[in-house]
Amino acid sequence: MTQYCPQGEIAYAISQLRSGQSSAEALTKSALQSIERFDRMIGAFRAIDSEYALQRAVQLDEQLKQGNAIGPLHGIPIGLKDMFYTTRRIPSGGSSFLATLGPRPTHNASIVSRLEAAGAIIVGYLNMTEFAVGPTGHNAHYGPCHNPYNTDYIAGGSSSGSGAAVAARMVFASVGSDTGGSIRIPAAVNGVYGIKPTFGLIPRTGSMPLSYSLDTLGPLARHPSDLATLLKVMAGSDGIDASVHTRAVHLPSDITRRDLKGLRIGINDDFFNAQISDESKRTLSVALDYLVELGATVESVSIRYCEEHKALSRALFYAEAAAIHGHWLRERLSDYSDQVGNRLLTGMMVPAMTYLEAQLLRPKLLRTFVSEAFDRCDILITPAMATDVPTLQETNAGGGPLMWSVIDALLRNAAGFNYLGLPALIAPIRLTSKGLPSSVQLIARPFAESKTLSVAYLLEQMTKFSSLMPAQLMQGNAAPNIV
Amino acid sequence: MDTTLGHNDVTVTPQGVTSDQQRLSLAGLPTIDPARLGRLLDGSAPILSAVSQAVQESQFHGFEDSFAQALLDCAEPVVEEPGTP
Repeated sequence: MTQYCPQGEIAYAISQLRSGQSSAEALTKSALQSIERFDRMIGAFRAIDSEYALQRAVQLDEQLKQGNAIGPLHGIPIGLKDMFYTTRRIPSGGSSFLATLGPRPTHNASIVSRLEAAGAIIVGYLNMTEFAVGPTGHNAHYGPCHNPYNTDYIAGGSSSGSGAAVAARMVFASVGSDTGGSIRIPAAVNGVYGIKPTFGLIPRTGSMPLSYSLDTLGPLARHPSDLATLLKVMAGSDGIDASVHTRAVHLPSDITRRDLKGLRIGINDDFFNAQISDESKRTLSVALDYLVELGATVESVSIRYCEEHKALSRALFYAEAAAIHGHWLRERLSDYSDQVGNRLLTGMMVPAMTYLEAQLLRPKLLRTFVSEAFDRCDILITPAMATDVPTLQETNAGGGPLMWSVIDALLRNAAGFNYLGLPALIAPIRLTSKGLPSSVQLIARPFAESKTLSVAYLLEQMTKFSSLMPAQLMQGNAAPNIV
Repeated sequence: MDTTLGHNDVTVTPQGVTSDQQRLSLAGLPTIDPARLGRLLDGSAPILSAVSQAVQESQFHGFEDSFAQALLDCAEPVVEEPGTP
């Protein structure tokens, strides 16, 4: 049987490197072969940097031979959403013109420097929605990213390639950004783990901005342990991004737990579990059964103002995005696709008063949410999305009058947590009757990422989702089970 | 802003849309109902008292709440997570 790469957890790959049973060069070559084989169907990559990746792999292997200390990502091939400053290239941001604006960066984004210092090998730059606006993975300039489980379906957005490349075993992990669900929706529809961390955990220096108040960066990976590894590497103040807290955050290297005894899981039927598809209901039910089997207790929690969180996040998003893009919208609107240009123009019509009211309410609504939810539970669980994974056709421009209701259902359970700044992790649970992933979202108090990771770790022990291979790509391997 | 527009009222074409109302609807902004937001802020709608109080206090310097501080206040104390021995 063909050994598709990368396989397994990052920690396992590192142990293979240490024992001499593998090498960074072999891992990188294997990743590049997977990209060559599968990316014609998926469209996850905007650019592949094979020469640089292989050179770096050889250097890292040499370092290991010389007995130098190695980082937690030594020799691990990863991908970057195409929106980070690197000295290698100007990112496209999924747009038609960002990469044409010179000069080439003279320094890396903070998280790029940290990932490389930890030993990661960046093999390429991943497809994304134009300027990170939109949850479906369409891109009018470069074409859509496809779902590896079924290429007729969306890969989510805006970090579309970040989700699809990890699911299709092209890389061990990737980095995305999340302003209203842009890590979590691709993670959910591609059946991988992804985390939007607490606002202020990871510095955004050198990343393409969309909303100063809502933008967060985070990892996507096939195993919660890998998420924890990348998160630990990426977190902490860089002394430049003033939004990052200097508070010491406990991010353990070891997220393993034996059970969930004593852990209270909260569910909310008023908003997050309302108006959801039957498949999403089934997924939540399966996840709750696993959690109870692991020793957790489940409690219903009533939380007010969830609809307002979502609406107020839009007020911040559109106003700030319009401010960031204002110059280009005035000078070169025709360089934007119609969909993205029109959405960005909307921000010019958000009254300053509405924007400031949204900012004024933000800390108060956070305190209220945390009190109402987390005084009664340790982790809130919701369906990742209110809808099943939609097709590319029904979410494309011209997809019909229901298009925006589908898109709203994609964002419904995600966007409010950007407004509240809370950590939210996506855990894939099962495949639907159509063979597409269906996931849950785990939310915790600010800076309690480790709790969501530990719960995800145990859910992974139950679902074994990380071992599933997208059947459409991996013909000849065992088909995934449908729960 | 016409808040009666709903998501389903607009057919999107590959040529995009041009009117302001369509743009608002495309963006989902009708759900930011200004009337409802106004009621939230003036306390005439069922609203958490903390927010009403915040609006009153915000008329005076020194009562501004910070989102960054709220995140820290709502965090749990730093404790060791139990790991597998």
